Amino acid sequence: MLKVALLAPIHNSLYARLTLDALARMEDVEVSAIVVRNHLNWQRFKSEFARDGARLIGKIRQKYLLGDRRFSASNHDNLGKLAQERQLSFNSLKEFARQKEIAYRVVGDLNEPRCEALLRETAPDAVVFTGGGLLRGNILKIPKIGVLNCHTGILPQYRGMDVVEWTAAEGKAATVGFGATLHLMDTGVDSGPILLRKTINPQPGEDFNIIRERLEVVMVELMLAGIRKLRDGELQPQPQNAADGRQYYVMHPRVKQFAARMLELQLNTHK
Amino acid sequence: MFKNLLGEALERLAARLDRSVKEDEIRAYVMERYARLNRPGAVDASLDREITELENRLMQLNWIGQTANRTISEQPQNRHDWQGYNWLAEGNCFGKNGLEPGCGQFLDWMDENADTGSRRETDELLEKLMRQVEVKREKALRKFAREISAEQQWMERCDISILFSRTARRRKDLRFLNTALKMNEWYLREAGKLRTDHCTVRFLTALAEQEISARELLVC
Repeated sequence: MLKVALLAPIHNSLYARLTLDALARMEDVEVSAIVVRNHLNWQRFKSEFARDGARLIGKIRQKYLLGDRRFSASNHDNLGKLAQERQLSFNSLKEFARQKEIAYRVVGDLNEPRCEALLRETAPDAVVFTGGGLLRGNILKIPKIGVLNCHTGILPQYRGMDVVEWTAAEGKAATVGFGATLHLMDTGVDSGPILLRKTINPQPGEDFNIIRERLEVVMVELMLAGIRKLRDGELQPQPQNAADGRQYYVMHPRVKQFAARMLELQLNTHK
Repeated sequence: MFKNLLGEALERLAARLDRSVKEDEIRAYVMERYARLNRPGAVDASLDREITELENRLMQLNWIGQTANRTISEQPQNRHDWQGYNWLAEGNCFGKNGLEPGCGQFLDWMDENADTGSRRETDELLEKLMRQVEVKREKALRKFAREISAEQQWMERCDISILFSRTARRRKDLRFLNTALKMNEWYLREAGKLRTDHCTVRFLTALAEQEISARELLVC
């Protein structure tokens, strides 16, 4: 039996809900705790606004106002479609925790002592991280196997922020490609040992939003495959060599416009 | 209904808060400030060399025509010869106490002249400096290893921006241009407070360097 805990950035995260739903049905896997970050935090809003600027407002609109409806107009693979296919029946992690009698806690920050205490108490073999900021050593050290994170980019080449856009801007759509990487977290940024990787094949006409939405589906798949393989003892984490990749940061709008042109060019060239 | 209205309001707010500065706005800003500096007798003669360097960059951008007795220098001369400095060996370009004044120009010189022996250290310092700016954002580069005037602090920040723009061109690495674009936007908001012509010239140079790199690197 593999015991897992789930950390989520917000109680209604669709990525977290889909992952949790499948984990709860998985044989020989027990979900022992769910910890959710409280979304009403002024300090975090200030810090994220300084980093993301106007983009944060868009994120708030998507997450809080549109919620699952943000996918309704799309035809491509996305979490909304996946939720329909899987007949996801609950709207919040809290609701699910209550139904299944799983320990549930809301914290201001995932590194805080209340989160640490619950994880120590429930002693998971692995923690499934579905977002919520950087984790410190005190949390990372608790699970026997480690904390699993799925990064929306190909590691070891592309660590950090906006890596879908950076891959396009650097003309690496055909060589490195767009994909997601499941890895164990360490105190660095996307620098922990790699577990699994999967790429997608974007079609001409697809933009960054579509690619990201498609990658969110891949993230759920990878997370579940990772847990399954860890349960069966089939995964060997591969340490990363920092020199094989670079760290990327939030992309400036002017560079992003260029990245969008590069993406179009590359997708049309390699169709 | 309420959610839709709120959604529209948030979209409008996001559009208003989008603070990214477009190329033509940069050009208008630079040219307006340059015109003020370029009036006969407007600035101290001690700034002639730096203004000439600025003009070289403006000519490179085709923002001004050829000026009498001036030539375009593809690689503007670094203002100092740093041969013999052992900062890199001591690892004190910037550290716990803050940025060592001169660090931007020194690293620019190092990156241009580094032999293979010091390449790795230069790379590490550049990455570390970029990370510091990206993580601390506007609050970065406010602490210095020793006390220097507000004017000197401004120049140091401009030098780091210039370093990033030039490193981006030398290495064809968009990440450095990305950081320079952000820095110059933050500093543009403070530029109204500039008290000396020297500060203005250095900042205009940083903006021109950014645009030279953007023109070279942001083309498909």
